[in-house]
Amino acid sequence: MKIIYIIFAATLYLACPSNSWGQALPFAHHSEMGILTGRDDLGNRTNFSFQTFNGFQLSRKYAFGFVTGLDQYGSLSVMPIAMGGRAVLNPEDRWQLFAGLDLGFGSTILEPTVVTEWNEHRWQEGGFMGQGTAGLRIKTKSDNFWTLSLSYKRQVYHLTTGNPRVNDPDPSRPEDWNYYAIDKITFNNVVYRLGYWF
Amino acid sequence: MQLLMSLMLLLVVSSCEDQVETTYTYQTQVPVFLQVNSFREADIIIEPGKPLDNPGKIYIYGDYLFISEPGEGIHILDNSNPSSPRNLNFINIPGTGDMAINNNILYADNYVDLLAFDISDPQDIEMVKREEDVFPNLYTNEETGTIVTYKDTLITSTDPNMMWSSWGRPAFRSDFMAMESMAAYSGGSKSGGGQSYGQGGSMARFTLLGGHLYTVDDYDLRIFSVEEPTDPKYLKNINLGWGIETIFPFKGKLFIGSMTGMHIYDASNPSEPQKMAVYEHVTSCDPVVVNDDYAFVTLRSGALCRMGADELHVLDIKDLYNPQLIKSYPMENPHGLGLSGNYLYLAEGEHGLKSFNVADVMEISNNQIEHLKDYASIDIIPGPKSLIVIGPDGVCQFDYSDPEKLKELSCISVSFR
Repeated sequence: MKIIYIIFAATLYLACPSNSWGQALPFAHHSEMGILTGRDDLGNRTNFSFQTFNGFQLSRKYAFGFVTGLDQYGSLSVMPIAMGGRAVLNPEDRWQLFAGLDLGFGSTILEPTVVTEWNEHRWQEGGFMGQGTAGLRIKTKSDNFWTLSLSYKRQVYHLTTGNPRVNDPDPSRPEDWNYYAIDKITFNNVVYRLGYWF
Repeated sequence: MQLLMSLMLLLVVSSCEDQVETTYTYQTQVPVFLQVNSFREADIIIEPGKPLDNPGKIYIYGDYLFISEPGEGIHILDNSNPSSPRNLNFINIPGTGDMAINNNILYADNYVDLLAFDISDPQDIEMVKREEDVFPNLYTNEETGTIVTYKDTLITSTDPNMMWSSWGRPAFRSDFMAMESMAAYSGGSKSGGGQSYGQGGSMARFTLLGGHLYTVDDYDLRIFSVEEPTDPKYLKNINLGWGIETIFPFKGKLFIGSMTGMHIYDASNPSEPQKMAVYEHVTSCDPVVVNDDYAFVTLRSGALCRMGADELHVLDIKDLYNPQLIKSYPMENPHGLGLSGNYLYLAEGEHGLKSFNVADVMEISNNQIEHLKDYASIDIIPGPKSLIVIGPDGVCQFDYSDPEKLKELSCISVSFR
């Protein structure tokens, strides 16, 4: 939670013109939709992904901002919350190469704690999210851009199932549980995305 | 350049399998084997008073409080002033579960043996008798004198040595299966919401009546003659079925709470108690208190008694051969209870302590007087000077001279939690 707060605070701080470099930096906005592809024990998986980058154009080549969105792994929804950077190699051309790096956290805030009829408690926690991107940026007539990109995304996620021994168990107190099992699942994805940058 | 790119891409793609790493954390009880000689030969040492760690049962005797520390020993406190009890001594009795006091003699179990201590001077306690092999169910091999006890252990491993049961969730290890009930027993008092006394499954619970000491363990009622207080003699045992939990003496009768119901025994001939009735209910955990006309039984759901209900049952026991349920009241998580005149004090586990006026047993829920939510409580003893409340965090005493308004006198906290 603290990390999220820091990211937000930093973004807000930079958004305020008096805190930046004398004048407001131009906004940069980059929204993308795509598919996450990976492999697990059961075979190949293909999942939906949406993400949006909001930040500032530090120079013609570099942008810095806040990344969020939604990754849908089957029935599991993970919401990335991260800091992101974008760099463009040749901003003067119509066809440009760009790269991006996002580091942060994937949240499972949308996933409720479930108690089954067998009194098994099941809850989920997110974890580290890291993503590296390379892609093409194509200038439109209105000076906006279409993007096509390929990323490698690593998302850590924890699923805990436990059987309580007391009535009001504390998830962080092992003594309150007969057993619990924590599955740490690392999703390794190759992501193909189509996006729009303005 | 292109070659390099495609090579990199290949690397990324090939490392793309998701990784799953599972950590299993579970409570289990690790068996500890012990030779009877090792504790019989060791001296029972009276140590200076030490802080409470995991208080079990409390016994009031005169101005003294005896607080058992299951498995470890017994604390002796000077309680002549309930506002500031003073820690006196600690009797180090490994493998102890319960105790009872009669005529300046303290009885306590020491694994398979029963010990008797002279406590006429609490500053100078002396062991006067060891009655051997009276709780034989701890033996794994009686011939070699080997007993087994179980130690609570928290195990974390990434070894997927777990069986998956039919509905697709991890089951316990096979060693754990057998120990599940024991784990729930002895881990209880520390975890707060579990069993009342934190006793291991085969440790006894004691009571005295008519010159006899009665102990109950999982299956049996054992009878000792203590007519000669310094020389307890084992007489016999009566099998009671499973899940026996508490024993409460009242006017020559023994009320025994088990996980399936309440047994009533007539002990007018103390060495030959006769079964009078069994009141059966759903499986749950349940202490009992009684007065002349009624028995109050709490039923509690818990990890061990998952099917159970959280209720207070009132039974009409005017005819002891035929106890009748007259009313049940829903409760939150009732544990022990204490009865003083028309006032019933009920320990609601983590939910605190409640008091009721029970003059009209049909209207108990409408006559709740107080609910002290801050005192997590497991058991309650209405003593002559104070109401003593035992909880996972320690032992508190209340002034209950005005039964409608409890006043805290003192609290002894456990040393750590």
